[in-house]
Amino acid sequence: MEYHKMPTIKIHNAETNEVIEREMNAEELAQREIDKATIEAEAQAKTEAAADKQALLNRLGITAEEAKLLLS
Amino acid sequence: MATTTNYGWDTPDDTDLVKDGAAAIRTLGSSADTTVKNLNPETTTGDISYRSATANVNTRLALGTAGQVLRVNSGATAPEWATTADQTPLTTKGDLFGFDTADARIPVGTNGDILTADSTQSLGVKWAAPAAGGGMTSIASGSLSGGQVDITTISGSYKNLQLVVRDFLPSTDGASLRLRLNNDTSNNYSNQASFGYKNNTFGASSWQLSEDADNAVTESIIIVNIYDYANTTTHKMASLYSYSTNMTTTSNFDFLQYIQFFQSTSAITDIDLLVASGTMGGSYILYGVS
Repeated sequence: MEYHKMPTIKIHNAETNEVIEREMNAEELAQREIDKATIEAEAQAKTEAAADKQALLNRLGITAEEAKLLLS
Repeated sequence: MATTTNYGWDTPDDTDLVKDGAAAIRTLGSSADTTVKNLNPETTTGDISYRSATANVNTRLALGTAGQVLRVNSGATAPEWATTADQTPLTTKGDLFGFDTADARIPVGTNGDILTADSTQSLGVKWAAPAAGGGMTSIASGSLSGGQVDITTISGSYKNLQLVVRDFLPSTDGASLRLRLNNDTSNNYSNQASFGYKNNTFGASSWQLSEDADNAVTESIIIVNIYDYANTTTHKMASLYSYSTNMTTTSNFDFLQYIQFFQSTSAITDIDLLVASGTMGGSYILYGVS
């Protein structure tokens, strides 16, 4: 049987140099889910921007390299 | 009867009879002998003498032992030979000879201290740590692991912070390394390419420290300089230099050069490094820059 491992958090106290590592609590896990969704949305936006850029290049009939040359 | 001027020895009067001359001479000689002996009580080589409380009677002071010096006794009444005690106030390894109103010891400082003039000290000097001179001090270092690493309780005694992350390697292909300050998860962060732009907004909930990273190959290095991090009156600013392996073509690389902003006037005491999925490997060093 395969167990799902909880992500861990390492806490390093810079004053005492004490390091503890434990499983994330519910609040931290919830934040992690938010972060994951945020980053995925960022990636999606980036992909869409790249697609928009390619569509524009297609309409103009030039390549990305030619566009770069044009703007340099 | 007549007497001598200085010691009062008896001498015949001018009118004394000649028949008494022998006795008179004997009396005079005995007086002279007694006086001379009283003035020279030394009996042994090296003896010296000094005047006693009685006029014309000296006291013998026998020769002292090797190394002794002649000094006045504790009652200040006579000289004496004495072995002197160590005259320095020094007692301990590293002590220095100092002075205030009398000789005094300056105890050695702690390792690395330097001797500094200080007129407020009774001895006029003190041992003190040298003033910081623009160095970098490692505040915290370790391995990246799990989903998040929090560096907490960061001292505010430096001018800037520099975070160095080496060989960031996420377990999930394409994950990027993120950074948060003071556990602030709100949209108080901004990642800007290194150009000037007007009228920007804070739209991110973390600083991005890497591009989407490969999960098998890494020779990455990430450096974040956080400036004036301890001030409590301005928002915070950092510069990021990030180099990493391209996740699609691992022989190619990605780089980021960002100016990053944090909308908070609080001093930074906490830095979180995190990936939003999977775990991460690599190492971190946080420096305090003086």
